[in-house]
Amino acid sequence: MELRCIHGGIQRETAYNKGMKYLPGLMVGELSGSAGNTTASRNRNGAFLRTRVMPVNPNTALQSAVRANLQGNAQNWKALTDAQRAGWTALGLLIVRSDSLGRTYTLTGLQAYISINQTLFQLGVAQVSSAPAYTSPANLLTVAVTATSV
Amino acid sequence: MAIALSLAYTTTPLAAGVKLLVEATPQMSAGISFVARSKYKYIFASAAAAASPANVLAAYNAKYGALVAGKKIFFRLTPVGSTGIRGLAQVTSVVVS
Repeated sequence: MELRCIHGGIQRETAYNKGMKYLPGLMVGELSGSAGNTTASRNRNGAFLRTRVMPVNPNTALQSAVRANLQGNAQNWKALTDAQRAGWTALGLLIVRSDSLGRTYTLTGLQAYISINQTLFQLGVAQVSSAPAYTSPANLLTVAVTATSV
Repeated sequence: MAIALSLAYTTTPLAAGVKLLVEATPQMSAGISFVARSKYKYIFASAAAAASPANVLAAYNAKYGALVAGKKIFFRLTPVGSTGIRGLAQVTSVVVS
């Protein structure tokens, strides 16, 4: 594993605290997430390690509502029939996402169930117990934003 | 010129049953060219099959406050079908004038 300070110069304790690049190799592959006080991350210039930053928790009403719905969905999953869960599992295999390292993956049945119902909740639409047929909406072709402050 | 924040998109209108989910970042320095996914917060969902443009000024003001000239805002727009399945998200940005 090659370690290199992303700010250049000699590696020092202070430089490590800001961030340290590394090249994935035989000993250490691509990393993601946190361990102890260190977070592995990646940007367009490569993979790096940095000091972990504790996230803020604004605890807004919307945030609480979303979290409560997430908790409800996780509990409701257990009440589904085997046929319903099989339907969600089949749907999950059709939904392709990419992780923070750019690798694609498909969803499990539980992930698909929660993902769809969280989106429906966000849109103010009733929750569903049975998996819908997979029909991906047409993508936007162009987007243009106008913002004026005066 | 009037205070405005609108999103124009094609194809317009959206397909039957499809809504546009709009997520945005706070206003930030115009020199920033990339923001993490976690910085995008939900601000607005259009009606189904809504026509372009989407006026998101009130929703943005409610979430992040008044627009400030010279600041940059990133948007992530995602079409969502009536079943809740998401399409491909488009990311764009604008500097407030």
